[in-house]
Amino acid sequence: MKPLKLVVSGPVGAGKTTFISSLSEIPVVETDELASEDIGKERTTVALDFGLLTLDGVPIHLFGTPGQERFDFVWDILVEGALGLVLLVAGDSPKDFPKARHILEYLTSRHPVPFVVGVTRQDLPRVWTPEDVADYFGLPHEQVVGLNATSPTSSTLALIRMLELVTGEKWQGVY
Amino acid sequence: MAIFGDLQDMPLVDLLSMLGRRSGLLDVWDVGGKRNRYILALDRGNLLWMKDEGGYLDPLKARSTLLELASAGRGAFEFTPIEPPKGSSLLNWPIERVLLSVTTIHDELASYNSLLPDPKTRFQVAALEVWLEEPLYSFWERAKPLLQTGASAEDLASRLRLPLDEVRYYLHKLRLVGKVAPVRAYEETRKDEEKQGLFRRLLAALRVRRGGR
Repeated sequence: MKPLKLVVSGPVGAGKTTFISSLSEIPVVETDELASEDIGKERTTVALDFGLLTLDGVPIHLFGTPGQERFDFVWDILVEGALGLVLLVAGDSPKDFPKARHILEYLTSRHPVPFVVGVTRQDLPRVWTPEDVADYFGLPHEQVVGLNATSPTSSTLALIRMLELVTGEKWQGVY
Repeated sequence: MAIFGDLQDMPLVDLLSMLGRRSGLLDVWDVGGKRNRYILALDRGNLLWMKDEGGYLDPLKARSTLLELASAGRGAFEFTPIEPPKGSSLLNWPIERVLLSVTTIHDELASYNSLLPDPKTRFQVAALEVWLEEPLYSFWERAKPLLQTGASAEDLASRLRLPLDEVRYYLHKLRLVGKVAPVRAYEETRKDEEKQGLFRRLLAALRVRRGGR
């Protein structure tokens, strides 16, 4: 079967590579390089991250976009024809929210792609709740989920939420 | 006696403030190094009308031109003190209000720059009943037909012939008051049954996966 594509986007340091790692069945193919500007960490993704998830025999390619704005020409290429978009933002870093909203609105206003916003680092004591982030983004609360990108279960729940929203189905389990 | 000079030495806001309650025509040309020409008709503290080579400017275009003049690095000017002819497109704006508005927009444009939407992000009408002040009202009236179906700052700047950053600024302000919201392109598409079936299949597989890990 033709592989599907899921795109993970968000500002620098939102946890995109970690999110893909926690879902991927293969070691993530990274394109890390030394950061050429002060972005709060030494290395960052410059082209894309790639992982693979297989669901019911359907291969899903997981693509992570670079977070720095100077690589934004890659966003459109990756999102074109995607099954869905997961926009990640670090809940302990409100300075990144305008940037995250900018990316989300740019992509979702131009590409007919279902999406969910994931607020990472929910394991930290001082962090914005998904509901508060939803209010900032002007989104329905159910479209924003809190998650810990290092946890496969937590990352899977974000995908479940996105598919629930597009199918109209509700998760019967306990989050 | 003549009043003349260049906007790089005497910015527009200083010039208009200095002209105060005088009546006459302020001719400004070669603004920002371009071949252009604007005439501002001043009458006892009021800006009566503005013209460019194409004719009288409507309020939205007039305000946009004032912003351009206020931020222009260069532009020759000359003031002719005469009783200005009544134009067919009257603005009749008190000059002190014009100065306040222009400086406010100028400052806000600079401070909001990092928050302004991407030129390609599409917006659409979200509410009709919100009350607006100038200059947002004039922009809204012109942009509304285009925003009904969704338009980006790039689209609007091109169709309304306004500077891109000014349109981004107006969209940002309209968004703050809830008048526009970003388009969600997925919601505009017709739901494909085949794709919905695939989504359900993937959802079921994810639920099993979640339960098993």
